[in-house]
Amino acid sequence: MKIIYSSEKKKIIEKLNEQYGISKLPYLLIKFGEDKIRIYSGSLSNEELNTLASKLNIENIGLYFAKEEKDGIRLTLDGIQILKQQITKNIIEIDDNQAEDWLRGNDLDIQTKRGFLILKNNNEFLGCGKSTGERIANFVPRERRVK
Amino acid sequence: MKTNYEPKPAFVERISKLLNDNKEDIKVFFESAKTQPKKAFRCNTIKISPEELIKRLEEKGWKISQPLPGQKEIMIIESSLQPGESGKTKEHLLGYYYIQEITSMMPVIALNLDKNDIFLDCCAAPGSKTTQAAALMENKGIIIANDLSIGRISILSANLERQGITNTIITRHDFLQLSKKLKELNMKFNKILVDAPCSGEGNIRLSPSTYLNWSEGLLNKLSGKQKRIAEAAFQLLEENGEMVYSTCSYAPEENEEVIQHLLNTYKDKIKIETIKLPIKSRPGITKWKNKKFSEEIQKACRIYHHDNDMEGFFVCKIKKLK
Repeated sequence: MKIIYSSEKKKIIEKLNEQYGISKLPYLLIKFGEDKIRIYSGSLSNEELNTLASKLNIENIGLYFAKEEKDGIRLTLDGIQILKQQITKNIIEIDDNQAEDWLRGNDLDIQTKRGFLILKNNNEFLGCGKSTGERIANFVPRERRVK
Repeated sequence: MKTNYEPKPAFVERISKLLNDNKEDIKVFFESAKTQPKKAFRCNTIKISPEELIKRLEEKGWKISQPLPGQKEIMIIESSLQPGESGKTKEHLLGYYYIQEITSMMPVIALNLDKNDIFLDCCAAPGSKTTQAAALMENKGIIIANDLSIGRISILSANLERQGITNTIITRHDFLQLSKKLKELNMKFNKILVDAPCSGEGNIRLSPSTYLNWSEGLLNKLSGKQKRIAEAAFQLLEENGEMVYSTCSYAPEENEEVIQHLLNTYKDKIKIETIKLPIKSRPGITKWKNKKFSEEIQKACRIYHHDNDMEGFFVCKIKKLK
């Protein structure tokens, strides 16, 4: 794990703002692996977290919020839930049938602009997909899909 | 399937003793053991209000009740659903509620957590109580949730993610090892939960297969482990800090005997606190076989499944004195 300090955090917020309209991230950001960003809202400081991490087997801190990919930041389903009040850009409205399909883990055949999109159905945010222009790839985690 | 499982004679004898050989009480206990409790769940107040959740679930045709007046987030599904239906809804998938037996919510209620607390959940997986604690702490304060098995930690992590928990650190250690490491770091907690690995006697309604593996030998083995965990956890409490020890077992070896062990070990540094739970409970016992326990242990709560149409639990709150 690596704590993300202010200059890098600022860059991430800029990207989130550009992609999704998110401008506030009142959390400590922590990178797990190369590209997974987690958010932490507890009251331990950076130093305290680093000290704990040096002594304990830490499996996870906070919530897996986003993944940095080559062509942008992909928000997780749970990350979207946390920040949904701020999301204003790259939203695609889907109907009830499409939402059901999406939650079953299927890609959606929708012609739309390319890139990462937030799927929304009846005021409910249902995750982030990646559009090829013809099809939106599904990232709903396997264990979270409706069976 | 469940009717194939029958209690062993020694189990019947022990329960009879715990119920003071009251024939009617014993009969109701074992009759109730053959039935299923109502499906309970907890509204995740981090994501949705109880009112909004009820509205959404009622639109599906579910009948929902809130059985405990002071705890609006605790709900029961009164209508009959298809097997697995409550775990397949969009609301469940999005983490708006967590399916959890009501008695299993009692240890965290007894801890009376708030957002400034520094809380250690010693044996946290699958995360029912960690997520309940995080909601009560409004995703603030500090939570360290520990477990040992990788498989159980993966379930714990998934549950925390689904519930939108952002204030928790998950560690993977044998608890005795964790306690040692936290002591080296001089880290203390003002609230600790030891929901100890146990025989599961209290879960016989939902898991009647518990009868198969049950033996008095198992209880004694678990008792030793539980004493070691409780003792190691108590050492991490700050002065005036509070610890809840709980199991889903009726066995005094796993409950009162563990508390008595703490009283013997820490003498004037420990006090048992009175707790008032929102469901019916009976006092801890002071005598079992040839063992006598402190009168103070009567402040512990024994929750029998047939008293509340729920599952069985043991909850005891202790305080570390100066």
